[in-house]
Amino acid sequence: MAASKAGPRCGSARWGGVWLLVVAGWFALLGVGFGGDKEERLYVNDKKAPENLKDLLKIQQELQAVLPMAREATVGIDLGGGAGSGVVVSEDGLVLTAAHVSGGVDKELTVIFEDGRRIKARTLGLVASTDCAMMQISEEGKYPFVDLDRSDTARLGDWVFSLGHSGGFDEERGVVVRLGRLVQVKDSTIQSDCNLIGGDSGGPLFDLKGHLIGIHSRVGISKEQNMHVPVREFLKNWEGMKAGEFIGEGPFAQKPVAGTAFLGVEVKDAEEGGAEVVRVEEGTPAAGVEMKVGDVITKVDEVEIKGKDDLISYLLEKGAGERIKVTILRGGEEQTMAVELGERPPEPVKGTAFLGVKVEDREGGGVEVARVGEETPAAEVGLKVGDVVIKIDEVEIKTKDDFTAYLQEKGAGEKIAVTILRDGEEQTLEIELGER
Amino acid sequence: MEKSKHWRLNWVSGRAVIALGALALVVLPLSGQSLEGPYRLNGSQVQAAFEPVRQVLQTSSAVLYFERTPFGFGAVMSADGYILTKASEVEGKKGISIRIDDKEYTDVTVVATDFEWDVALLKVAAEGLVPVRWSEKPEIAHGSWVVSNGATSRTRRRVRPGIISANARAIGGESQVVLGVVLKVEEERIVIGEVAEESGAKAAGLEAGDILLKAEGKEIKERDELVKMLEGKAPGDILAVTVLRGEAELELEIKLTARNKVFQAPMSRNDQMSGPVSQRRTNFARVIQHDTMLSERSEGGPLLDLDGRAVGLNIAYASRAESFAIPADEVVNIYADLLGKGRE
Repeated sequence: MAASKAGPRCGSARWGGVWLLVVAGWFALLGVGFGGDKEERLYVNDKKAPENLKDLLKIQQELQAVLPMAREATVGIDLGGGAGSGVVVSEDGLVLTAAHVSGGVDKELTVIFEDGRRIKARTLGLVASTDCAMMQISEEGKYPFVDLDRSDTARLGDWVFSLGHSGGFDEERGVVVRLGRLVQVKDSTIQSDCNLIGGDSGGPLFDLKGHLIGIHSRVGISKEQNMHVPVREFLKNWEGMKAGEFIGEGPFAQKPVAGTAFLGVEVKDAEEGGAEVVRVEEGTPAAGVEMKVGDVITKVDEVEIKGKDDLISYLLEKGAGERIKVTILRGGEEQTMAVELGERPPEPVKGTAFLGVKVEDREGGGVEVARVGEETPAAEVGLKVGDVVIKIDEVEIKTKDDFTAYLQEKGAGEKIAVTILRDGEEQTLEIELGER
Repeated sequence: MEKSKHWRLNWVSGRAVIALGALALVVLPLSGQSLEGPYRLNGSQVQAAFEPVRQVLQTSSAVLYFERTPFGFGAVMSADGYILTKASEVEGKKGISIRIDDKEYTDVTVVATDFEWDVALLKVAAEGLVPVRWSEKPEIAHGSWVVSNGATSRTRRRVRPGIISANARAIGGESQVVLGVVLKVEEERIVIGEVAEESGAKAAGLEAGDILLKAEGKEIKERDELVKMLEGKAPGDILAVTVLRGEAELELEIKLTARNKVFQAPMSRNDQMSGPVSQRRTNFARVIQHDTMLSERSEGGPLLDLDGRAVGLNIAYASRAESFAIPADEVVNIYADLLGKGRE
């Protein structure tokens, strides 16, 4: 899951595009930053370089004064198979992170505070083009948080520090701090010489007052290229993200594509209305939430499900990675379960299926197995010469042509139920078709 | 036009590693909004503020050369020429020379080695050197400035600044010495799988398919029992094993080898981002972590605070965001031990 989330789906062309966009926007943004911030600037920031140990100690003192609270508000994010970082920006647990960490809208993740506390959180909106994302801690509480540099006071050359869970959460090690300067400032990217590495993504960049000025996004091959999304980019899209909107297009997150979603159940129309589960496939989202054969799906999200078709057409509108609420009836009781949809496996391609038998027409209907190939799907389930195939799935097989025609419609990997007569007795064999 | 690689920074395990690699990107130089080199953290103008600390490195750190190329640093421990450095970087290099201040010393002896800490004690014939002053403070706070040896010239030491960046702690890892075999468990017996070339196991004649019965006279039933036995052992130590080959029981004496000489650890995505890292960067009983941008060729020297006292000995460039140093109090003990070993 995490692999595809963070996957390299974006080609270089897109990256070039993003970069050029930045270039075009640069001149328009020159004005930004001269806005009236009345708060006094730290004198070391206005020196081209610290001149002596006293200046260096000033930087150290300022850093150490704000570091404890900045660390408290910094979280690790467990993606299950991967890890990123984030930072809490409100008392009730609003978290900022990178879009390529949150990976989508309305997903459940776990945040980890430095003391090891693990708490569930849900992703809100994101900006796919600039790598901004927001999450909300699900449990009510009062969380340590940091303030944003709302008036955009950060300047080129300012001393800054970055926090993050480099390489993933490690309670013994704690949050990792790095010090540097802002070495490049652009409208949607700022660069520092605070060394970042995998796992830091989504973590916070602070000025020496402890105000959040950016979120870690990516690095260049040169160790001095550490890129952060400036906080103003978050502020620009704040309301939309808070409302759970997926803003902009790639490369940092991909919108779910309708029709790619996969639940993993086979259903039929239930007698009393609804869609009754007749099969739950192993390892699918449905199996993950312990959906069972016999469950009757009556509602998905707020949509009533009257039968099989209602469910199918609703799911067709959904994309992999989206979350749905499924209401079921089980033993007369109504239950609701939240399911994160998986990715639909590729459709079987017609005409690629392979069973591995030769059949002959036979008097009295059905086809007789004349030969079974070694190491074929047929051999695997024990189909034998002399067996008479009378039905596949629910379709009656009267002739060799019926048999061939039916299999022609099937693709490799599909399952069929073959009903045979052997020694006068009827049996049904489940066979997974191979590839021709 | 310059092409550079960019990585996203969420950490992903397993098979995603390769796929997450490089993304080409055109970087256009834009003047006026980029901080000039000298004013960056590792620039000359910022370094200049550390001058009093630099002077300590000038007199009390050593530069180690092999074939005229610097490959590491050392901490001067005594006026008469004892120097501590990172052992695994010295190992296998014949004819190293050392510079302290502007003097060169070509007659260098390795007095003793502490394999567990990866520290070697070197000796040159000198007098009147200025030893490093080791800090006696029990702790150094997160965010404190620390100064390491940076790129050096023949006569002038330079500084690399950084800060203490995480909690002091032990760094675990797999055992640092190995037999040089892959062990398999078959029918509750430990079977030798592959035998690595250049390993002690190969030299002793161990073969794939041998069944391990005993080590050091003790019956071995679990893989972990063997791993435990290797703890605390150093390369060159001998492990006596009994194996079953066909019907015959064989007794073999296997010379242990340093893990990194036999097995190449797979490169993670974070390693790819970091460039060459220290070969030995795990298995330390306690380290302090700092964010100094060092390299695998800049370990072994003292880690100084702003007062010019050494708070540690740089021991590993672990990644582009993590450097490790052995804490001062441990260094003092290691030095005493190695001096003792040297006198034996």
